Amino acid sequence: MTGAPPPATVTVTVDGKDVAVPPGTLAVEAARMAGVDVPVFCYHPKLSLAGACRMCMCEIGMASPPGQPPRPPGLMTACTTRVSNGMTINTEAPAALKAREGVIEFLLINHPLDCPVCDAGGECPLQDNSHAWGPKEGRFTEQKRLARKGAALSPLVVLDQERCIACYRCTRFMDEVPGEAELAFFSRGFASELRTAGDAPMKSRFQGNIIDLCPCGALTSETYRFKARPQDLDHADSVCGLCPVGCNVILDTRSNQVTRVRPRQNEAVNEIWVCDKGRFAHHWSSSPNRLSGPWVRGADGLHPATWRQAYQEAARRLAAVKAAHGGGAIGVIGGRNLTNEDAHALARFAAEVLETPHVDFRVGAQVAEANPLSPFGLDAFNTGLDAAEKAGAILLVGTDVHDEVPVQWLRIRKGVKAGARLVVAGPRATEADRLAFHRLRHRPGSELALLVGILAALVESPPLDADGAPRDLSGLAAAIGGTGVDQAAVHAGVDAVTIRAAAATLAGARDPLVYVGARLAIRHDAGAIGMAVGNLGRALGYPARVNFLVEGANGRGAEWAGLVPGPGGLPAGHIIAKAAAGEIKALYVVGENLLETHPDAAQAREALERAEVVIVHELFPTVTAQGADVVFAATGLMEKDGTTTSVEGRLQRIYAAVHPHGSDRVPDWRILSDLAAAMGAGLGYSAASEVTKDLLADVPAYASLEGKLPGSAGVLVRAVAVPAAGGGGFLTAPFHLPTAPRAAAGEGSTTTSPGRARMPADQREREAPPAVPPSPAAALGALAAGGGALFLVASPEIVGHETIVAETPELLSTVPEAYVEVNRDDAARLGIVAGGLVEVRGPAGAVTRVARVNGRVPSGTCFAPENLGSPRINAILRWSTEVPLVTLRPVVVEGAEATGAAVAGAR
Amino acid sequence: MTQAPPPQTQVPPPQEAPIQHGAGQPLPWEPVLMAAVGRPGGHLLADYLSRGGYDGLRRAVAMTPEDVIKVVGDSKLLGRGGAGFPTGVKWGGTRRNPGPRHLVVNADESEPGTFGNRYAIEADPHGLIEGMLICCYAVGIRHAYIYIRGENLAGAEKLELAIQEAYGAGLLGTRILGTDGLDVDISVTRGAGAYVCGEETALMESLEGRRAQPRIRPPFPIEVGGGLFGRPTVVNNVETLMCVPHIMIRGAAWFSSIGAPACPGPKLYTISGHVNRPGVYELPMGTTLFDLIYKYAGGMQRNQKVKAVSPGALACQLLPGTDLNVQMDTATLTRPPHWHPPFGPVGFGAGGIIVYGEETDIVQVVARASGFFARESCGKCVPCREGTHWMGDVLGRIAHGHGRPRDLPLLEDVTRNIGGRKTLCALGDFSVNAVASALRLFRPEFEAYVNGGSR
Ligand SMILES: Cc1cc2nc3c(=O)[nH]c(=O)nc-3n(C[C@H](O)[C@H](O)[C@H](O)COP(=O)(O)O)c2cc1C
Ligand code: SF4
Ligand code: SF4
Ligand code: SF4
Ligand code: FES
Repeated sequence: MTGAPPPATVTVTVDGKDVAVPPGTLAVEAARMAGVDVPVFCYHPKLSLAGACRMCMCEIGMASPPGQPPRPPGLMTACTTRVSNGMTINTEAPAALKAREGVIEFLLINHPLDCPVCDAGGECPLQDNSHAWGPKEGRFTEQKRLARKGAALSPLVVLDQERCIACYRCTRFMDEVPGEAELAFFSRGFASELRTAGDAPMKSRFQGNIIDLCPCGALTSETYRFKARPQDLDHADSVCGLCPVGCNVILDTRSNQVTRVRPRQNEAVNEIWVCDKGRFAHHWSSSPNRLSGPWVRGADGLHPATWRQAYQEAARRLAAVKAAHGGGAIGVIGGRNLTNEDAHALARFAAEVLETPHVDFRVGAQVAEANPLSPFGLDAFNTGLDAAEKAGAILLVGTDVHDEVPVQWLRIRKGVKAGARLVVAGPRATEADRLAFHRLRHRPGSELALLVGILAALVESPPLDADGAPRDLSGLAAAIGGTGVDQAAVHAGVDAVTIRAAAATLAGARDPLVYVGARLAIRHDAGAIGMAVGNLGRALGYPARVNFLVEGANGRGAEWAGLVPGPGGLPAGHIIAKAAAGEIKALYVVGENLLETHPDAAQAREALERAEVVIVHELFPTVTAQGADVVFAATGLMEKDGTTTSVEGRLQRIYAAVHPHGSDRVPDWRILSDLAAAMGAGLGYSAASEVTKDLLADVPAYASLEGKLPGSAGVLVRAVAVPAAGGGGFLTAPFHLPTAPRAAAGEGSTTTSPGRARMPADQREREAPPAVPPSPAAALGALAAGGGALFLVASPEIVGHETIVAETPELLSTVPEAYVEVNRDDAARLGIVAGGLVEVRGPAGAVTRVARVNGRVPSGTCFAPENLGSPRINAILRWSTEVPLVTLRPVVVEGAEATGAAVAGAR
Repeated sequence: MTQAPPPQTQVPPPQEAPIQHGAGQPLPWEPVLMAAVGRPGGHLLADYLSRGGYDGLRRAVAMTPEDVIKVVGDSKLLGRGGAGFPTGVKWGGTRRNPGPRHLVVNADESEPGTFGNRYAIEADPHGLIEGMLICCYAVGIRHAYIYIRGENLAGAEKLELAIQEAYGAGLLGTRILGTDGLDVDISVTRGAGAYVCGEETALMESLEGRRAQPRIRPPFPIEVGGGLFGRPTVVNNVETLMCVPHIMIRGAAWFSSIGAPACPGPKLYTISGHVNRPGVYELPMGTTLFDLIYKYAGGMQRNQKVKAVSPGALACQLLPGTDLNVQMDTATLTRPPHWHPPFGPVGFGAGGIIVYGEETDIVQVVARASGFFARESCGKCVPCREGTHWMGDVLGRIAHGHGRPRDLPLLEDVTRNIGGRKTLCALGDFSVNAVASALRLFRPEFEAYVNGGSR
């Protein structure tokens, strides 16, 4: 062995042409670099190598060692052969052509050749390769294989086994990318058959990707089957509008309707994947249930109106409130699912026309500051999404990444497979726990204590600097007020040993990465959590690798466009609370079904009822819209031109796929511009591009673009300049931990949430929400006396019963019945059986749920998804800074066993 | 066609044969690999020790691991599993790769016409364990696995018993023979009935709990990422390992002096077909086919002529009955003139010899063989999955009298589209060997079928 570094490139000859490629490149890729496309079926750059189809065979020759006779070249699969210096790759050698023709013939002998009725026809690699490389005619006269046709692998994906060429792309994807081994080949050889485990429907939320990967028509989409031919389709480049990842997509339309959504490759964002929500939930656009025009409230309730009437009515009502109480009596909520153009128009409308500082896209927010990391001179999100791929360790706090940012979960998995150690902190088990190196199961609401514990552990044994010396963290010790690991651990309910181990993992990792859930950025203690997270980044020596997620497809764009409280402005949660208390007189709600998304349904209802004026922009006649005085029928993201900004701060362009006919639906920016005109102010916009121009000029984050829009890959921008690594001292967090921990619920005491970190009194005064009823814990005291009270953790599932999902029945059918997840010990104690009905009673009422009994929630805690069931779980909750307590009681169904099947109305 | 006439006198009448395991003639030496056969309790530890058992291991641990590998290399032992890879090279290569490393014993033996491993395991399980221990010592292996054909329940039970005995005697577990660092555990896994499980990478997939389908190479089993659980792994056949204790005791020179110089040593030949005494014969590597049939296996049934021979069970090309002077060993059967492009060597495989008498209908033989490979193809790669089935269908049709003249060129072309290293593992090549060679050697028989139904 020599110490010489390996050469940077090796030279190979592809069909007579020399190319220099990195050593270790696969021959098939080397050929591509030389401009030669070797046909493949099983090979896929995002999957492990299979060498199964033998389509890519080329005549490959290795250079022989000096002085030795040349070795004859031989047939090899280009997809599994790595190049070496002097290799010759002959892609069209007669032997290779013969072998390839043989493979095509073999593939076709048992292929049904139902191209005329196959969805893949026209975009089928098997078809294309057969034309290019196959024999002129077939010689097969035996009986063709008969197999399952039209077999549902799930409500979303349909298999035609006769068409399957057994390339194992689908099984490899499931095993490797989402890591959900739901699909496998059964039987051997010729009889090989693709099946799901136990023939149960696939459950993965990423399964739609196998349809794209399938190189023939074996896997088709239930929603797209027999709907169109590729040549019938028009295409528009867009960005998925269903979560903040901002996956790049192509919207395929036929007759002005979206017929399918496909991922568009963007290696920085979604690579080539989308989640099933993004892929399948597009039928809302063409739904007959859409609002088809504006509504205005008359004496007899809401009725359709002309746009002119609607503008005049809204203008009149808003002007009246403004005249009587001033602009500050108007609250503007929403905007997280709009384009940047809409958001910019809304921000201008609020500031210039309504003249109110009470603007917020962050539904339920308890703090005014939208960026918890602003004290550190950081953005809320500071790395690219692809940073997860090369991290040494990844800390997840307060987020179920699989459900919150689905496709980013795939990237995190990739990082973990490449060696990143995953540290998962949360009050219950999530998908990420499956890959966790450390699991920190903390008490609900005690994220701050946990983070302080990690900081304290770092103070105890600091990370080493580049020179091997322990980093000086005395400033951090002061910043956390000398809190010790054990003290924090007791408070967080996590074993101190585990906290120390997790901290050591983070400290020892190269390029660690921190993701904090969006909810922690809007909670009452967001400021303190931001301090802890910012300090953590600095302590680890990676100050700019800390990230807060955001809610909404364009939450980041809304934040930057200014849909956050202005000076003296209230956060969204407080706006609702004040409206419910009668202090805010008018609500302007944009694309937000508050009755389902505000954490306290009763309070939201109260707010909508008490407000003198409620104006709503909506796609559907939601319950919230039905309580409005004027409803504007808006267009959705698939129907708009403009830009969005994803969670990482990537500005991306979208193009309308569907063009609203006539004037029945109007983009939000235009509604705002026209309404402003009706109010005599005028934003003066008549085209989206005009708003874009203003946006780029007015919003500081986009200043660096100098007015130029990015290309198809988008551009990552930063609202604040990222400081140099290691810069800055530690900031003192406005918190302290109580000296004695509180007992957990279910163990006798139910006085307060043990997880809640106390803020100094002055801070608490400033931050405490008004009009919040006395502690729910106290309100539940009587209920809890029987020992039945549990802390409730709630968050949205990836796909729920949202209106947009409900318009795709196939997807809706995969959504579980509304459930509550209970620890098996608690269930035994409370007489709850798995699958049985449970009454979940909270401070504001009760709902019925199906019980899931397992060990995924610790004893003393239960979990209910926020976006399942009617009514939603927010129907029983009060908006508060405390972790809610609920009681569970089995529901006894008269004369029948209480089973899940008995629930009719769970959705 | 001329047939080497076997002298009538060389065929001993069956009843006069010495009672030795299936043998016709006394073997030319004291058996080494089959020493335990016929000894009551020969499979037990006590008997093995009384025969000098585990002395090979004692000698090995007295040497450095490197020296053990050198002795095995010097013996010129070639793997007996079929590929004929030099065992010393395999061990040395594995040892050079970082640990932990594993040993996998390939006892899957599922090809029709091969059953030598089965005899050896049932007769002398400690001989295998000792060979494994020497390998583990030499290569630096802590965990060893025996993957045994599922149907061979008796063998698995004998192995379990022997392993228990070995643990009891301190021959497995930690500090074996008091040697620091010689810690070895052995576990036995029974396959679930697939020929392809004998292919070493499919075998490892199966051992790891997955569907038995071959892996791509490189990385090779001896390399990181290519072996069992991703670790460098020695995969050896039962018979290969059973040779090793004897090499340690009697020396490399003894071993390499036996039989064929290029691939020496004792060999367990299994002979079946139209011979009078089918069975397992331990003979020097390189024994001629003539001797095997007429000297040991009791000659042909009803004194018929030899029409053809499958030298390495169904996986190899057919040898014509005119070719009885050929030496049966890896070196001879993988070099010209036993090399037929584009399919390559006739092949020797694991030495499972099937002898077909002159009454044999070769078309029926080939149709059966083809059906076997069609059923046993794992289905991972296209030419083998689809091609074996196609060949099976066509040959089945021909054998049933529904052949057409154009089927023969078709079959030849299909064999060319499967064979010649186009498939992911060697099963694809195996599947065409009998068909292609039969079409070459016995074309008139096929023509008779396709021109006018069965004869
Ligand atoms: C289809 C197929 C079946 C095989 N079956 C066996 C088997 O049953 N036993 C065996 O030892 N080797 C078998 N082999 C060969 C193994 O892959 C491997 O070469 C052998 O186990 C190596 O051991 P050796 O070096 O001791 O010969 C088979 C190979 C193929 C391609
Ligand atoms: S279903 Fe499609 S992707 Fe899956 S193995 Fe078959 S051909 Fe390949
Ligand atoms: S991960 Fe988010 S952005 Fe991507 S497809 Fe799913 S919902 Fe859409
Ligand atoms: S050659 Fe046959 S047995 Fe081997 S991998 Fe291919 S299909 Fe499987
Ligand atoms: S693409 Fe190379 S074997 Fe399938």
